[in-house]
Amino acid sequence: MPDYSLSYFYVFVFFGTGAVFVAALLTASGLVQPKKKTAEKLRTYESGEEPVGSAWGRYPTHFYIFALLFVVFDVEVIFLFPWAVLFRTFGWYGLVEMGIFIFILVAGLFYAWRKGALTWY
Amino acid sequence: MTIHDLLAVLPEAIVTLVAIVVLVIDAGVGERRARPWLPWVTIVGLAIALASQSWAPAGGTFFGGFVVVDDFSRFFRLLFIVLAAFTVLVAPPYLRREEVSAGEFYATVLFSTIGAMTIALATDLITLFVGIELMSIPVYVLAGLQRRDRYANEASLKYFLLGAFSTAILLYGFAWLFGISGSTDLAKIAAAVRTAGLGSPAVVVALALVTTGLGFKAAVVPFHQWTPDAYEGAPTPSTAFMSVAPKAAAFAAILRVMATALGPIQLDWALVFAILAVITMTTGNIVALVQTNVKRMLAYSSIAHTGYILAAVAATAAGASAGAAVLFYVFAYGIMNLGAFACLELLDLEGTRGATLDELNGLWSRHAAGATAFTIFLVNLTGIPPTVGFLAKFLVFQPVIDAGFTWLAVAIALNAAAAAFYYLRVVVHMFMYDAEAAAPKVEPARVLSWSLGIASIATIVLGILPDPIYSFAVRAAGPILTK
Amino acid sequence: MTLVPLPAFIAVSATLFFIGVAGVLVRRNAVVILMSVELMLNATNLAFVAFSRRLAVAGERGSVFVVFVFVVAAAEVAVGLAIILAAYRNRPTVDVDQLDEMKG
Repeated sequence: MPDYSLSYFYVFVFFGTGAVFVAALLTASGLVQPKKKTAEKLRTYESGEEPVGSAWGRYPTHFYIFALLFVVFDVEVIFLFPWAVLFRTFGWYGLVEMGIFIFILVAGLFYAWRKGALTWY
Repeated sequence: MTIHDLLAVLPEAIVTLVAIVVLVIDAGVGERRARPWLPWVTIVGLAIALASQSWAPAGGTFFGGFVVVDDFSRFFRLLFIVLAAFTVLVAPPYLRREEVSAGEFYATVLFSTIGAMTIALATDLITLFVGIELMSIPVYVLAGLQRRDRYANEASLKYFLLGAFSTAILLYGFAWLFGISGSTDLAKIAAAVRTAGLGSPAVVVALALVTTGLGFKAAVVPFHQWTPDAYEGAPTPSTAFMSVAPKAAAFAAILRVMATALGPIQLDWALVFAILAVITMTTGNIVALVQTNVKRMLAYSSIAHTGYILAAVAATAAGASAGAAVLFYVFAYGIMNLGAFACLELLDLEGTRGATLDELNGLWSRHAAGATAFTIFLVNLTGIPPTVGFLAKFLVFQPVIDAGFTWLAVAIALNAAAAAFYYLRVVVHMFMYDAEAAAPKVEPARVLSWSLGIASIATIVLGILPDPIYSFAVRAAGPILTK
Repeated sequence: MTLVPLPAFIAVSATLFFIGVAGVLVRRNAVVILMSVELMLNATNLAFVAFSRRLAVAGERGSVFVVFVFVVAAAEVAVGLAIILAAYRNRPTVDVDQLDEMKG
């Protein structure tokens, strides 16, 4: 067995032990515990809050436009990272290129703002 | 990296700037006030972009080998700028009538154009991938620009899902090409493919994935199912653009990838492409025969034209003449197909619904110029001399025969003859039948009519004097197909 | 300690890719199809990174490619969800088989 699969083997042993441990404890406590079901006890546990509606409820879709804008602008930052790391190597040329990149992003943000995508209804 | 790199992509940079300016004007000034002059901002910007090539460095590779400027990329720059300008010229009446956001339309067309131009510049898989996506994603938006129209929703959703699927397949093929060669540079991939040969399973996997992915983009049968729905449901100006620019861009990508990176195994994929070409043109033409909706008929006809172009791609063993045939066909197809769809914009139909044959009855008596232009474009698509459409088909024959595919040449001839039936049926409806009482209103748009007139005359002039474009196509095919 | 061999990565990547393909072909919910496509893209990313790190001849461009795939995938998802939402507003279904206004 090569080295690397041995390390996976340890992980699986750990995983298996954990699963057996949890199963054994839950079974044991299930066997010995008293069972008195009331409506209050069977209700979904939401950290002490009264549960409202079903868990399959829908979210209002005007969240999505913020989420999408966030995703797009958030992911674009990935290009800033290598530039920041190699800032000195790229010098002025890199700065100008990043300036162009940011300018395009800002134009997009300006458009989203003017078209009312950033307004909360 | 120097300022030379930025100057080399000056036309692309200018088109980007124009797209941003259009968006900012649209958002800043307000849709209603900006609407009348946004098309002119776009057209002037595109003209400057085309002219700016003279200030750019003569040619060579830039950005550390990511971008190459040669006659091939210049040819496609010219083609894409012409197509974008034509689209923008004919779109305004439709956009106003259907209350489609004009700024978004022009900006999206420009963004897609930048992507298409980037594909032609690509000498590296990364550039190629970014170009393909920058070309495709705006087109999905264009298809669904009429947000309240159910047909447009369906068109853009289908186009998007299949487009994203095909991109993923293509990209996985790129990953395998990278695995074969350890490089994303097309020339280095070619060297590795030459060493490995078709005996290597990795090369077969990469070839299959890349062919499938690019086949989807170009609407090659059996990867064409999205085409009719996407073309029919999209707003007509969007259909006009997306039936030509993405197809031309797909063939730019096919030439770059198949002829450069996979060029060493050309003899192996050529037969597959030849068979796909026959299936594509035959399926497109047969299904087009039974359509009564002209928009849907033109969608199937565009599939048939993909088959003709694919035949020329299959013949790349014949050398630069095959490449020139592809480029010339793509150019001619771009103008004649865009023009044909643009003619439908003359008619005031509800929503995205294309005109049925009966709705075109008697168009001659109601709008003579429009009917004439439509007839000229249809004659082009049929391939009757002295039009550029005829010449494009004619130029495909010689390389196909030179490459040893005589049966393919026969298939093209038979298909072209069969296609004449459904194209000319539209002409019969326009000229021979009387208009019905409930015939759709004809748009009295002056710029639209003039553009259609000029474009239709241009197709005839190019059919008689093809030399400027044809010699350009020959020069452009050089860097791709001289080994 | 030896490293995980390259074929293992490629096997995982190929498995992910085919799960994605199967998802696109079998599922009829537009959002799930989109998720399957994302799975295919991530399979690609895995293959690129594995090739880039392990092949003796490979350069760093494989890893650079992954960055671009990320960004483009994000843009694609943004557009795709917007399209699905626009379609849903006009007709409350995300089942692609029920979107069948056009025939022929």
